Amino acid sequence: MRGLFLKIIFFIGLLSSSANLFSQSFYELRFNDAYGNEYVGFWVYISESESYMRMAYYNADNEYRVVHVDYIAETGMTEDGVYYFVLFGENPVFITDYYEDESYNPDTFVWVRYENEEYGKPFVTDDPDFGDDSFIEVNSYIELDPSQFNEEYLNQFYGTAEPDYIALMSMVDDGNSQLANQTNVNHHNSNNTSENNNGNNATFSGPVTMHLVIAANTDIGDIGKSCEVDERNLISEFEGICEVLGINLKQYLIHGKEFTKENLVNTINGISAGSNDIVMFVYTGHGFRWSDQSGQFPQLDMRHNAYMRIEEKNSINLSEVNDMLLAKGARLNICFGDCCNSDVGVNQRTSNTFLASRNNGNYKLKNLQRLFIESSGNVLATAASPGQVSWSNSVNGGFFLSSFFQAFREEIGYLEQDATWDDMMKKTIEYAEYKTSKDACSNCSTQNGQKSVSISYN
Amino acid sequence: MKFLMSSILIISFSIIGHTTSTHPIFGQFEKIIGKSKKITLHLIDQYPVFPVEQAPEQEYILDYPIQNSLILEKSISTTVVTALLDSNNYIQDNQRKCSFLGQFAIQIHHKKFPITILLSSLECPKAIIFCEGQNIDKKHYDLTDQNQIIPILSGLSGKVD
Repeated sequence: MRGLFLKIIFFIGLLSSSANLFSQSFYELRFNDAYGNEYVGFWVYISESESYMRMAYYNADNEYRVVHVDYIAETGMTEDGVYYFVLFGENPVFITDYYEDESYNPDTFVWVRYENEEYGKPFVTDDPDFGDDSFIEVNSYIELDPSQFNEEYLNQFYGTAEPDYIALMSMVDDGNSQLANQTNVNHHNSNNTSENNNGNNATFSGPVTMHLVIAANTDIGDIGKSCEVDERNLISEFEGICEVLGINLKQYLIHGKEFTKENLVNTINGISAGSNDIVMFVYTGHGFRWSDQSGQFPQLDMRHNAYMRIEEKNSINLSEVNDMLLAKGARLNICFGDCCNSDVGVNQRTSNTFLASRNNGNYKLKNLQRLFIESSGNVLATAASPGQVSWSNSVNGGFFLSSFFQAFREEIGYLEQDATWDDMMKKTIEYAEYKTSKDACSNCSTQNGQKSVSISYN
Repeated sequence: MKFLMSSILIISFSIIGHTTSTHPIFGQFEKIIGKSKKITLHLIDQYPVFPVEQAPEQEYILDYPIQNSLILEKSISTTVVTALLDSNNYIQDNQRKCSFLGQFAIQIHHKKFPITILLSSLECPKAIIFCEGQNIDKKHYDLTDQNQIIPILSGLSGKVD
């Protein structure tokens, strides 16, 4: 056991990929230490770099204690094909009273599984040296339904005046899960009339359609699979968002053999957007910059096979796409590029002018509305700074987009007061930077995304 | 619980004790590469050419026009093979989102399982393995920033006539 866990812990970061948990999920863990003392952990998972646990137990004098412990998650696979998910605890802080000489060693939790298996109950240790026989399997590990929270349960871990307690109780008051409670939401409606919105637009200024354009290089040999993952996650996520908000969704997919500049331009030109609509463009594929290019945003490499040359006719700048979206006159325009921004070694030759997790209900509807219904303006963002590469893998897709999903779920969560696009994009860039840092990925080079956010809120 | 822990320990030790017998990149073809008697290094163009458009007087490898070729002497091929088989030169999990542009092709001559590896660091360091009909065929790998393969090939490219 020790050998396996030590091996896991020392291999952390070597082959790690981003966790596939969803932001702001809640779990309970129960375990006994070597002396038989029971511990109950209330775990709030926000992202792999941000989660915490409130640990409740009785000390040796039978006095009740609650400790707040911050957690960082790491996930990956060992050379022997063992998949792991590890929670490292740090910064323990007593919430309840405690003696001056009293301390708490943060616990480390380890989940392991083999291919084609699910994760079972984790093992836990508070031994910082991961000593012999120190790992104990927890007694129980369950995901919690926030709609079932009540004062009695949460008061085991929080004081009544704590902000997170108030936020969690408001989840109960709002009748969470809202997604499960909705019925007959009519999405994918191409008629775009108010009669088809089931009254969910009562607080909006008119019918809303989200035009979602996804350009995914699914056929290219090296990253095609990760682009497929991105496409799938985007569709799933935004179908869920539109369903909850009661707005129409129109999808435009540019992928496979149809992944060309001509198709991209024709698709965007063909969009007819109303003044209250949302136009969103997401690119996942290769990217580059010309050697003599200025400007921070990359060229999108619109070749679906290697036989096509990197030329003006096969590429388009992300900011040019953004300009095309702005020209539609929609209320909210979002333009993302998950691709490299590195020098291709060629100067531009201009010949013609031309140009996801599992969707859970742990969100605050007010935050979701603020982002998509009460906002207007433009968001333009890309995965890497000039001269940098961006990263992906076939499990989680692009690191930028997977970070966006994490940041998005955190931003719409109950622990967030007022959701903003700027905050969300800052977190997206920060999480992607973390994923590509040496702490998380020994073979990656850090990617520092770029953003331009100009949004106003009603 | 004790029985469970023992089971886990047994499983754990069996995992720890188990040594991977296949190469993480080349699998069972490691031996073919390691024992190859003839290896050719080609300098290739950045882009492949569709077969119908290929010039009859031009030589190609996997549709990439060949600029120059060099059959490697024994001592040099040993150095190249050692670098190719060093799995530390490869990134097995993640990929950079930049394109592959042709630069080098290494041809491992074998009667039954000829292997060709395309390598480049022109836009970003990547490798593509070809071995028709086999499980390693058309596998893409990114190379680490500190990989030893490209510097060796770059050093040899001056000797290619």
